[in-house]
Amino acid sequence: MSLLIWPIALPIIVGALVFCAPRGLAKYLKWFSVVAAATTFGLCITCVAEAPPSWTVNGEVLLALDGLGSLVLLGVGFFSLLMTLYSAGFFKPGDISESYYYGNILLSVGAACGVAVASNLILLALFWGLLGIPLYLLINTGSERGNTVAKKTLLILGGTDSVLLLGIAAFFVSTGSFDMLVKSQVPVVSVAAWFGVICIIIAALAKAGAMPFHTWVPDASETAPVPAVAMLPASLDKLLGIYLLARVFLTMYHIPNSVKIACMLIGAGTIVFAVMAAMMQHNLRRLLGFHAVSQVGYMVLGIATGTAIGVVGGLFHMLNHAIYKSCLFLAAGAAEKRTGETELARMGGLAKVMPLTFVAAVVAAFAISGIPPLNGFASKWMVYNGIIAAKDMGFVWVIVLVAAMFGSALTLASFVKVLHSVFLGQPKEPRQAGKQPGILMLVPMLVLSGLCILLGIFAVRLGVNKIILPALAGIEGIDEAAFNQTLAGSWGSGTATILLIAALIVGLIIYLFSTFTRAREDESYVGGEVGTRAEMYNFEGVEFYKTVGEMPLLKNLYKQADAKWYDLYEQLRRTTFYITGWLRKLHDGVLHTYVTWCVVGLVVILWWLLYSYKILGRAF
Amino acid sequence: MKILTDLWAFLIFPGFVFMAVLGMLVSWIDRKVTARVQYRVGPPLLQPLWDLLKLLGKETVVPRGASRLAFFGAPLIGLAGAVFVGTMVGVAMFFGEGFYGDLIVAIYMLVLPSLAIIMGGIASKNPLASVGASREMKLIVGYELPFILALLVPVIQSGGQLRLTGLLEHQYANGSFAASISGVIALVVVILCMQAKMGLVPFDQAEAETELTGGALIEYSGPALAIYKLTKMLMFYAVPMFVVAVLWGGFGGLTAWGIALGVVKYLVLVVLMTLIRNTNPRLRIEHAVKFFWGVVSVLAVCSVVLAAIGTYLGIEWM
Repeated sequence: MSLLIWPIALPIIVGALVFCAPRGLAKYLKWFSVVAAATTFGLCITCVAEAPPSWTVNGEVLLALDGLGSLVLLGVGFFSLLMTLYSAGFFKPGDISESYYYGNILLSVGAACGVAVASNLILLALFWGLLGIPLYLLINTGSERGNTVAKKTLLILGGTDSVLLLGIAAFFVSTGSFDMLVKSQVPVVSVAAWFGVICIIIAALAKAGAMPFHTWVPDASETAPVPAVAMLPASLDKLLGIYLLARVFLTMYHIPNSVKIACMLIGAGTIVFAVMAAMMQHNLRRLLGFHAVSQVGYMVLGIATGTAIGVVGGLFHMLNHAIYKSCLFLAAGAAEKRTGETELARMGGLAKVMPLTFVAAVVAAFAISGIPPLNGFASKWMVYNGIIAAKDMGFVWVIVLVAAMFGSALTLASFVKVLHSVFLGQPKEPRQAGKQPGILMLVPMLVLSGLCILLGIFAVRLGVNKIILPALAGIEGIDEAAFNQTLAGSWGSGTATILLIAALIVGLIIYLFSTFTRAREDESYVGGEVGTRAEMYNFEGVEFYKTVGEMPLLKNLYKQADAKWYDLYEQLRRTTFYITGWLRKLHDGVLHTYVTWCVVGLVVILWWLLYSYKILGRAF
Repeated sequence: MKILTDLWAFLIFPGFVFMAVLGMLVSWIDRKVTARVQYRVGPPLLQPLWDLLKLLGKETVVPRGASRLAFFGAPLIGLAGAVFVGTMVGVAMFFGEGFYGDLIVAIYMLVLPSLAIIMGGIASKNPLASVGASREMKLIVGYELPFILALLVPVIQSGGQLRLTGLLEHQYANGSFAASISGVIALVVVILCMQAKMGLVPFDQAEAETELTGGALIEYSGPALAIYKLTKMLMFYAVPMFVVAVLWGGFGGLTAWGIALGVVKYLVLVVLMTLIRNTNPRLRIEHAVKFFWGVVSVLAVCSVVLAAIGTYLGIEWM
């Protein structure tokens, strides 16, 4: 028995126990789950540290751990622990059924760990599919909307899971093995290889939530409980989807340039279109959900360049995204808990009453918008350099680079809207300084925002050299030497941070030697109006980009997006219903119709039989 | 010791102090030219300095119920960003130093002063300031697309160079990028974007004195307002200098003659900005965004395509 089984088995067994826990134990379940998640994280660390031998049955390697798997395993353990902690502080008794919620959470932890350590592709597909079940159950919270969205999620993920199985079969045809850790680097020339590459990439993109398989992410973000969203679509699913994509690109196949270019374009399109959609959202969770789609674009783009710095940047972005996006969801959860709202129009002014949450949210929002020197900037910057380094693919780099950089400005725009409508701006009702989010909720947020800063300042020294490059050990062309060669004298975030702090100190000195210390409070000036008349003037987040949304071409685009023209699932659903609509017309319950169809069918069969036995041909 | 020289560069030359002096000088030129256009005498040379010092002595007022952290923190972000860009450009031009990919860092840092105005606006708990902030953000979204496109022209022409020093060296060796058709178009596009970045008429919707009474900055007073004004002066140095370095040949070599030529180019850009702002009315925000996403972006795309074709076929004048 290898040690590698334990991070999978422990949470699944405990999860099953939690599921069956009697009602009387409900209030202890959260602590029980926190301990289980912490133990799992501990097991993950042990596995990575001890590098245990792989688990082999009948000569088939089932579980094994290499660099990339270790990275994902640690990430899964870490984020699961933080989210379970947050959940323990987030839900009041009676909000949810504890056994149902924590059981599902632990089950997803086990399945995600399974994906990270699986070496056999069939086993990977098993855990991959298993991960969809708790997600379905967590989204399906009982409301009608939750039911629809859960069904949609299950269909998209389940559908692409079957595509993954086809891809695995094709991989087996090419290599004669299900072991994906063996560096087979199948050249993509045969039909089987092409089929395999395309199928597995589709599955990876759907799990990560890239376009055009993205539509379940914003919907699920809106309906599932916040900590579950922060854990599954925002962090674990991204880690796993990009993990599989990286495996396809780095070890399983030798990817031709045409596939790289196609993936780069998918990435660039995902960045821009998803962020355009995000800008116009009025629901905080949905907005964050669209960003969870948009950011995938950078990861896909980075990995698809195939250059050392691009791949490192893409994987680094995967990690960074999980950090700041889950932090943002957690902050959104804290705001939601405080106000009971998710609509931007009904929040506002929370910075004054929840200062620590505000600070965490600002750091994460700036990180996702790529403000230097935070971690989001560091990884985006690497992806950009990777794009430029991939010049051998023609001028496609110009298009994707512009899309990626412009997408960054749009990301900033929609987070300005969030910060305005949730934390700053004009509050809809006077906010009393009341209860802060509890320590269990604050700690994960502050840890994550601290990581945003830390991984930003020490992007190369800590993020790349200590985390990403060891994960890519053994992959040709991507090592410290190749990385440093491209980046001789690179973006020194450490120096830059010291300089930026120096500038802040200059500013502070200006403050301190002036009237700043004697600041006076006064009502804000609203064109001379006072009292209730001044409060009538209110600028809501909904209005922020209204003028942009009403511009000629965009207006149509947004209208079509609202009508779900660009929702692959919705289109398929409509097509299905259109076809079944015709079939339904045939099912009218009138005997004559059925008899007619039977006769027509018989005639067709008879004609075909006669024709195939050359009876008809000879007769004519 | 590297960090000490970096700090010296950042705070004294060619960073903060140098930029502040030059920025004040240039904002004086801006005001003087404006005055001459309007048949006025204009302020004395030291007026920008006196303005700043006076603001430092004025009372600080905070809107009731606003987050003080965001309200007072916001101006500092902009100051830091402006000094950083100015230092990067200055170090590249004067000392020929830089790091890999600093062009991208510069593009991102150039957003910080605008972000500072936005954060200050939304932290003011004032609807007029929020309107101003939303306009500033829309403007950024508008001009950022053509700005990035136009800045890719030199990158393409130099064969994927992402270092400011690399771009400068390429220009010292092969002549300025603006000497080609694509370069000229890119320069025009960048000048228009620069006008918006600086928040000068016709792109001053965020402050719009007549309708928003100062917009995003409406609640600011005293030292915090002084920092915003100072940031704007620093940007008056940093942005045109960045354009000269990236597109217009830099100093044309580090000789006295070259530096004089660089200063002349820089002053031409400054006077051009002043003249544009004095001869145009303010656009409405949706018109501004439409302008940048329409005509200007099309121009920028043309320049990128020309540059790509020119580089591919090896035609220098394209």
